[in-house]
Amino acid sequence: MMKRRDLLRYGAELAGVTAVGVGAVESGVLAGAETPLVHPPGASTEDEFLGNCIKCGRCIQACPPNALGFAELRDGLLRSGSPKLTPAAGGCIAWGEHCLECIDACPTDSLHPVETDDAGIPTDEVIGRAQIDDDRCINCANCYPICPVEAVIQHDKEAGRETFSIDVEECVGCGRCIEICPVDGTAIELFPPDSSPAYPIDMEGL
Amino acid sequence: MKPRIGSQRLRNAVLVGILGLIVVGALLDFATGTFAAFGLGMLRFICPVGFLEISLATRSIVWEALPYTLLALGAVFLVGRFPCGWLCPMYKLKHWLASVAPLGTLQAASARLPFRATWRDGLAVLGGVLAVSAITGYPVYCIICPIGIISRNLISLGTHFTVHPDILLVGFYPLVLGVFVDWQRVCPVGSIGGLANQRAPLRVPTPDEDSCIGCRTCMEACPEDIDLSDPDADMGACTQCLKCCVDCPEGAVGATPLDRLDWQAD
Repeated sequence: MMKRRDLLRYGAELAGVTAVGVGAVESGVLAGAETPLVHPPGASTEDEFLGNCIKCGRCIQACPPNALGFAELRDGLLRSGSPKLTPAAGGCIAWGEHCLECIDACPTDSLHPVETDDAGIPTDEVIGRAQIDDDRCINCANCYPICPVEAVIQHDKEAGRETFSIDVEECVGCGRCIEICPVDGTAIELFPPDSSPAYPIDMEGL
Repeated sequence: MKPRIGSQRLRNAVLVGILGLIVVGALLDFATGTFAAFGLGMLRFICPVGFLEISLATRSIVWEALPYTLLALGAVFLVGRFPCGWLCPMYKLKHWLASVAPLGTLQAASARLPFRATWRDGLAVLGGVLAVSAITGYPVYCIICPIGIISRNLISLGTHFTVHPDILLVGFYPLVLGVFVDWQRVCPVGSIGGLANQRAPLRVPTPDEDSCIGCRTCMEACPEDIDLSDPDADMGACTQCLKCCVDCPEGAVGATPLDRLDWQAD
């Protein structure tokens, strides 16, 4: 039988850890930056994705182009250790060839299987939206041929924009354009799919 | 018979091999997994703490992970706390840090406190860790678990040739907690092994009372200061490093599961 003193000791330890942990999370002191992150294919809402992820890193290990990296402490403690797309090092190749190795590697269903066509290319999945900053774009056209979903639009001047831009309705957020962008610090940025455009373009002129 | 296994060199080789495998897997884009979900292809051992955390955080049983979690649990309840002594990078780090003078002194001082932590305290900490997941909806300990942090940095090393600042958190555990308690004994992951040690059928260090000459060599060899001749000794702390088996001049401490089974047959 457990003595009352022991019961108190273990109870106090359990309550102490709970209080410190819940306090640290709920107070928001460990929340970190609110910068939006782009997750691998198969992730649903951020809360569901983070709640299911045991931060094992299998997806990052398996990713052939090393397009995935770990979210860091500065991305927020609760996201730290989960996978994020790091397009500057390489974009996701899943829309160009059969891949989705990250979903196969995930042991906890944090990344769900996605619908694909016969060639293994995702049909409905959107992981982010890339947008070109027309102040930084040098019109080199590198992004135009590499886009696997033909979302890069070459504007003519009558359309009101003098640089390339990206059709946010077509873009799946793979980040290949960022990988190829020669501008120092890249002229293209990647945002989560539900974010509002940071570099709005006037689509009516097209 | 004096056993020929269990040297420190063998344990170091196993650990370095596992850590190296994680880096090589990351280099070759091949998912070997880490300590959180180790294994090739569909054969995976999923960390039971991680599984419990995400199940409580999402308030659902993660069926996809359940069989592989049971696989890991089954292995631990069969062999006992062996992964702590043979696979855990923090175990190695702790003993290495304890050999550095000021930290060793602190550790020795904390060992003299009347309060001696055991795996039962570890289970209480585990309860707290799981409560945090259930209340906040996030597997918080997965994020700060030093074993996980080391694993993830090994992958970063293999994929992006870099490590993250969170590797510094790893030092927190021995540096800060070591002052108050022998933190290794309250590790929430290891406490499951401590519980398993109470009943594990293939747990090894079992003194043979007939051959024991009472020389106490095993106690001096034991990194956890376990006195095998004391029937009330806290075997939950034993990490199956097998030092006692190797050092025993009479070969009176069983070193292989087969030895143990033979004794039971007598």
